[in-house]
Amino acid sequence: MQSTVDNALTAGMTASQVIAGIRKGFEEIGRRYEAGEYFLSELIMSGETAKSALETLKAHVQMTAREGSAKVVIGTVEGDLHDIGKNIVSMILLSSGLDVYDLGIDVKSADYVNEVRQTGAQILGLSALLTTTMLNMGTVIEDLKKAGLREKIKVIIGGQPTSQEFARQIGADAQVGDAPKVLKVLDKLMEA
Amino acid sequence: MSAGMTPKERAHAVLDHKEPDRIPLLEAWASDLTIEKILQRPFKGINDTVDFYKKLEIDFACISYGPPKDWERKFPHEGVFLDEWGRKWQYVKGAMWGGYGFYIDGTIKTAEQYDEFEFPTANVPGRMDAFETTFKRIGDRFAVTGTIDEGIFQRAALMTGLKEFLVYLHEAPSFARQLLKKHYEFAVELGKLFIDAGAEFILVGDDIADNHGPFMPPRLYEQFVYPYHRSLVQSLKKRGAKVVWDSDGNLMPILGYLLDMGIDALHPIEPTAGMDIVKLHRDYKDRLSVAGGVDVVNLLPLGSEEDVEKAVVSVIKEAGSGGGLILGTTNSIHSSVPDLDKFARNVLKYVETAHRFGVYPIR
Repeated sequence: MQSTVDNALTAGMTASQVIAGIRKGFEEIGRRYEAGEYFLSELIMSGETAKSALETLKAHVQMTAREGSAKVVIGTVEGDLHDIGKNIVSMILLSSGLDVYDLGIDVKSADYVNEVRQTGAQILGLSALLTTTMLNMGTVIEDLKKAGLREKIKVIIGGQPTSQEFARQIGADAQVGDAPKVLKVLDKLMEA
Repeated sequence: MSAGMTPKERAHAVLDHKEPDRIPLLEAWASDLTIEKILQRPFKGINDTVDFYKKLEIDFACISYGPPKDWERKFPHEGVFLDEWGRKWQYVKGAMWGGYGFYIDGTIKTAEQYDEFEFPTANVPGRMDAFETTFKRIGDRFAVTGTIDEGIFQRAALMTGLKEFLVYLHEAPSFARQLLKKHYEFAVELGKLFIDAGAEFILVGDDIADNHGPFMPPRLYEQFVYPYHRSLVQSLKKRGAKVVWDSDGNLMPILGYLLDMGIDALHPIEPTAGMDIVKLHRDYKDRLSVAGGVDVVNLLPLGSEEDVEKAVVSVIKEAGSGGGLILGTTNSIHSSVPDLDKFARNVLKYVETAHRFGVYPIR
């Protein structure tokens, strides 16, 4: 991967062009995953590959916050310590040129709200694996409202027990079933 | 068939592809909390599980292995415990799976850690206590089924973390294979212990898929995992046991391998993962019995008793004829439900319906 990125840069490609290439790759991987041609291990490997490409890129170019690139705050909600899916989503978003602020696991509602306020993020991603902890997603949305931030941000939820119906109930903007679908969901949401 | 078979005779008949006197039932596991509701008394241990199986006449009474005598789980900090393999689990109060937790992370991340790690051994005092107690009480009549939880792939992957293990399959194949082999040997040894203790039936639980499909492409399954799966099944069958294979998720992309390795039945055939028990029964009933059919994600926790009866009768009608069908929940009789009283009533309704309408001849 390192040499592919090196070659691209030597050949005169810009960092944004390399990132656009990675995003295109993720779109194709997402398509194959949905079609049943790719499996979880391949999804994870593509995330790892993108990660190493980004690291190589960082070593060469000063990666600063790009003008106009969307900011995403993401994390697994309080009480939940699971992060495979969240990490794949985080990696896909990062590799697609978004500025990702990953708060990790077991994130308190107040910490999401603070991070959203400080970064001015346009998107918030909430993840949960347990039916018991996914209820905390609703708390985060309520706290965003109280802080006067709800109108400024799109909230996307994801994780095995979540559903479109649950997203509607708690007032989230969208739900992502499979990690690779996140780019599509995001595009649709930002157009709206 | 004449009426009056014992649960064990019924279990043998269905796996021999004959019609028993009625459709047998199988439950891989039942939560202490649900058992309490159904028996209407506090759960104290294995004898309550046995009473539960007896009361409901669950023909395949699955019993797993236990920890070594005097072993205790460690709590490194609040809300987290380590199991016998040193793996981390999240302890969620009020939402526990019968004293179990939700997996967080594994123990071994490098080949060096593997070398230093002292793996638990199967043949230690205490391992077979629950099984022996159960077998002594109901083993003459019931198909007391020795349960090898976490099979081979699942245990290996949980040792490193699922994500890490899947990366090893691609990038460190010999390390992945080393882990699989270690857990294959453990599973073979457990199988021996169960069979020596009287088991004629073994359930191997090895979750290898989610709702989307197997965790790895079929070519990697064939290359890495399948040889160990096949060899485990052969070692169990060589010792005379019948084998029920269990994995959650969508197994269709690797179904051919599961059929080829000689299992007698497949469980739990999750409809939420796109697995269709009626179709599997129709297409493969001459070589494979199917176990499941009673949805435990939506139907039993949320449905009415009428919905439950309707659903169970429908599976019996569509997949019951000619044998080869074992009824059971599509995972286990767990307790992660919004209303445990309602759930317990629905479990009783499913069992009663299965006993009443599952009598052969069907149609």
